[in-house]
Amino acid sequence: MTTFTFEIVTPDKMLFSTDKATYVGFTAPSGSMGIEAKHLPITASLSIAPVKINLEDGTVKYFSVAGGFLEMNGTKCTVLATVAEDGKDIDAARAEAAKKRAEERLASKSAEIDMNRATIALQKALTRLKTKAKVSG
Amino acid sequence: MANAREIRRHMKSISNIGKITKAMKMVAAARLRRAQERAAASRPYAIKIKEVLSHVVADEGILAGLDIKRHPLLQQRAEIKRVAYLVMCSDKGLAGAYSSNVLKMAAAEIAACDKEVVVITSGRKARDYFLHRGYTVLNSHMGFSDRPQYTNAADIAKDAAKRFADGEFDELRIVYTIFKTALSQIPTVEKILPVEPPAKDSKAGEQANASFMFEPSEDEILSALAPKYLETVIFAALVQSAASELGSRMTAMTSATDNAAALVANLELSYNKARQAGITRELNEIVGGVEALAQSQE
Repeated sequence: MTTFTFEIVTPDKMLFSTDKATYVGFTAPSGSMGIEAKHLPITASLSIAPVKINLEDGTVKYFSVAGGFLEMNGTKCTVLATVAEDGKDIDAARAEAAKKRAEERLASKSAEIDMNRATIALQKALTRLKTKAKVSG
Repeated sequence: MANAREIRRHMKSISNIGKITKAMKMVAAARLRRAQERAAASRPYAIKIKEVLSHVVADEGILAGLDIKRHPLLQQRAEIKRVAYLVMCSDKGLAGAYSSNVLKMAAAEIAACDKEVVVITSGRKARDYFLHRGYTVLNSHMGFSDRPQYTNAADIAKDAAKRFADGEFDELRIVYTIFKTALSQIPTVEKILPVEPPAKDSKAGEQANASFMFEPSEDEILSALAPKYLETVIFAALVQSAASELGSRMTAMTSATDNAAALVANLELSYNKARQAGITRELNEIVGGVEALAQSQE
């Protein structure tokens, strides 16, 4: 099977890099997409959602990505994210707490809170939980 | 020659200064290591996002089809009336020539620029310098020069982008310091706004030819990517500057500590000489006294 280079970079560090990827699944604003080697060059913006990577040896990895971009130029696929986390490193308890906090904020509907920000925070927390569930499930 | 007690006091104060500079040196060294790691770690993201943006902007067909008004950060203005300089240096002193090198470079650049110039500063030293010399300072950011976070960069970028879009200036150049080693830091000027398509050399040309698909649309990607790009460039510069500042401070404090030790050694010599001279003088007086006494009894 043809493989391609895949990497996830954040401003803090190169989070993950491999040259043995066979498939990458991600969520664009219009819905789920997947790419394999020799895909047409594409630049996509990423929604706040898990990103899935299949490796040549059959292992599957998940990353929670809090929005960003993906670029595939045929042989190399790069995910640029302001915040991203390896699924196995996610602290489920913390994510759960963040989710609760965001939900409470949304429910309170007071004028002081920024609805937009709270919604995004909730999405991030949900994404981390989802990613965690996929890794351990 | 000063008397022994004065020399003693001088020695004590210098060795106390030496202790302080030594502590500062060790703090700077420890933080420099962390800052260096961060500088290295932040590089791939900066390079990548530049690449992605270049791909989007490089295809002239894409650019032509865009409504440039919706992407103010990409807008190449026909006439450059006013140029803004974003100058990054330290909040605190005692970092050798670090701040003054950046400021000298910025001042030379500004003097060479034939347009109207405005300044945005990061770091207290830069603000003081430009305010004191009567430049138009649009905004000054400070309090994070030696430990910048991504959010600091995001704040600066947001502010600069808004001013650029509002027409407060037509071009933004950044003056910061690239960290090479603890001994060598290079002040640099780069143009960061408007975002420019990369030069069409052979490598970029080949990449530009591959026409990219865009999801959802080039328009939306660009409008999300351009501000992110600006943040990244500024963050990378902040991180480089922080490493340079700490490196420069470490070097300065190392030589200050060495100088203090050399001074103390010198003073110790003078002190011993003064002490010895005192003893000799007293001996002379005693011997002289004894002889005078002996003569008077004869």
